[in-house]
Amino acid sequence: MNDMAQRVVDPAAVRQPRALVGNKLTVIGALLTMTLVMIAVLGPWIAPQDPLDQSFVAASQPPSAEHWFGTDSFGRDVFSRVIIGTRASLAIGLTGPIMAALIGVWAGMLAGWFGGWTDRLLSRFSDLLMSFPTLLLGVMIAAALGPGFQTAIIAIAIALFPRFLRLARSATQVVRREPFIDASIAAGRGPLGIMLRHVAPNIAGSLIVALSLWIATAIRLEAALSFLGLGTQPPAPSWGNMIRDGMGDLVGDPWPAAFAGAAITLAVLGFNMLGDALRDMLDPELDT
Amino acid sequence: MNALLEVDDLSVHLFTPRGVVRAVDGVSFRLEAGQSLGIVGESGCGKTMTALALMRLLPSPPARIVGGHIRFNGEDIMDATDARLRQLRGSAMAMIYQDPMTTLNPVFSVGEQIAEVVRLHEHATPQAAFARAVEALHQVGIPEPDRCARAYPHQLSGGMRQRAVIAMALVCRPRLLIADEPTTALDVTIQAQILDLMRVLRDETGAAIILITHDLGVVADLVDDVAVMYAGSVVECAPVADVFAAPAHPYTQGLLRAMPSLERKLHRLPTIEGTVPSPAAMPPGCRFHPRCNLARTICRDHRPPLLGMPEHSAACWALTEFELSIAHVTAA
Repeated sequence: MNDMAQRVVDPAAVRQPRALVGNKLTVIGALLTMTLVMIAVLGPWIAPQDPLDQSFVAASQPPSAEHWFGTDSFGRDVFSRVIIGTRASLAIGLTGPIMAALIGVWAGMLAGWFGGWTDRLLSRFSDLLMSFPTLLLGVMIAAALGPGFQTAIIAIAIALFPRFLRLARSATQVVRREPFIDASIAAGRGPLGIMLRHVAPNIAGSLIVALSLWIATAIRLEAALSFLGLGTQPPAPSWGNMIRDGMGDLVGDPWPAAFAGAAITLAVLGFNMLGDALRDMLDPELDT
Repeated sequence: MNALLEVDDLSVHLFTPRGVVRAVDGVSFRLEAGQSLGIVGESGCGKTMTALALMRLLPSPPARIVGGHIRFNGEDIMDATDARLRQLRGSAMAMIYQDPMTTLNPVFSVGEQIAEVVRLHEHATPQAAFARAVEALHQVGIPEPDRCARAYPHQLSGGMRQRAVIAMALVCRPRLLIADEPTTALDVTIQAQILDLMRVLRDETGAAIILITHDLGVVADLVDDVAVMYAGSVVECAPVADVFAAPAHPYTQGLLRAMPSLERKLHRLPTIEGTVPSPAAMPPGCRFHPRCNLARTICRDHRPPLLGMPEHSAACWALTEFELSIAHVTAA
């Protein structure tokens, strides 16, 4: 993308990168997501204490110099737990939608390209999945497969893949009518080659936008699943199960739930803002 | 010698919800290697459908080839498998579309797209394929082909893009090049340049060309033979000089009269009365008879076949009487 923008002479196109930098929300969104990813990657080195280390002497403390975010009812350092929890939340929140996109985009391109029965079969199947609320579907799948890290990823992937299928399908139907697709057929390319080489790059813009927006949703879903005990399993920390633990004594010691909730809010906000920014930049529908 | 391309009684029907439309109805022609043929006619007369059928590129549904034979280089195109067709397309037969603005993929550089065609049909490393692309761009007269190969389509002008499209079509040295209105989307000065280029390339590469156009002027200096189409069938087929000097079919005569000329001073261009019949409601007999001032009873009841010499034939009953003699004299 960058590479392309540098060679662009079309003035309308040159304006785009500048608009991206100039927009404060974009910068905040990008900074937030980048910081979160850094925290997730560097977690064990940043966390001041072992997130699993219990201390009954130091249980349920408010924030202090020693425990920045206070401690939970087991005396574990909430700051360290929020930091390590970032890993679980982001790992599931990123992997789930990416898997959903990989499956959904392929299925959507096939449906959009071939139409007919292929389309009807794939579309009806995704309609079936979409008729359940996303969270309910996730809970059902997680409950059926048994709680755990992989389960959460699979549940999120299945719950979100119809969204990508729909998007890729309609985008493919539009690109399919472009003359350069005819030209490519006339140059001797087969349907799969055309989908990979010509359709996929042309629909990538709206898919990237959707991906970052659905990552925000997936982070919420992961928190919800963990909150319900179906995602990350204790004692491993994740934002969702920290809120659940904190629910027990929300009045006496609100800190674990509050900071975990704030982390979820920031992560969702960050990915949403990034998604909106990418949409402004990439989505042709919004071009003036 | 065997013809490079033989089309025999080709019929294409469109199966629409409102009924069957006979888009191409019994078209036949031959093309020798290195020769060029112009297919001329109004919008909707079946020129493009004919061209797409030759490469089996018809949009299906609704279009389907319902009859006839297409032989390319002795090979039956109608029976060719999808895999064989993919081999032929882009290497042995290539197509140039009308609008260069949209026939290039906006997300890849021009060179990448041309190199892609090379790599589809020949074993070549990416570097070698890209070098071939640059060479092809040079061949179509693009200054600084290296820079152009790395440019994206939106960075090029219309004329440059059409040159790039031609380079893409010619990069694998096809034996047959089908150009569907290659100059219609370009402005007049660029049109002339592109036609010059096609003439040069025809002589250099020896590719046979089928040029589809509604512009008789475009045809005049590029092709050897002309097939005039009207309402789905060929009404006249002749060497280009004969078509201009002694058009045999009343429709061709009408077309030529309707061309503005520098010699004749006219207040108003003559036109052909009436409109092209709707494909869903074709008149019986000769399809041109409702607009023809020579129409007689036989024209209403029977469709004329192509009559006359093999080198100059026309589908008109009137031809049997006097036009043919003129055509014959000028041909001799």
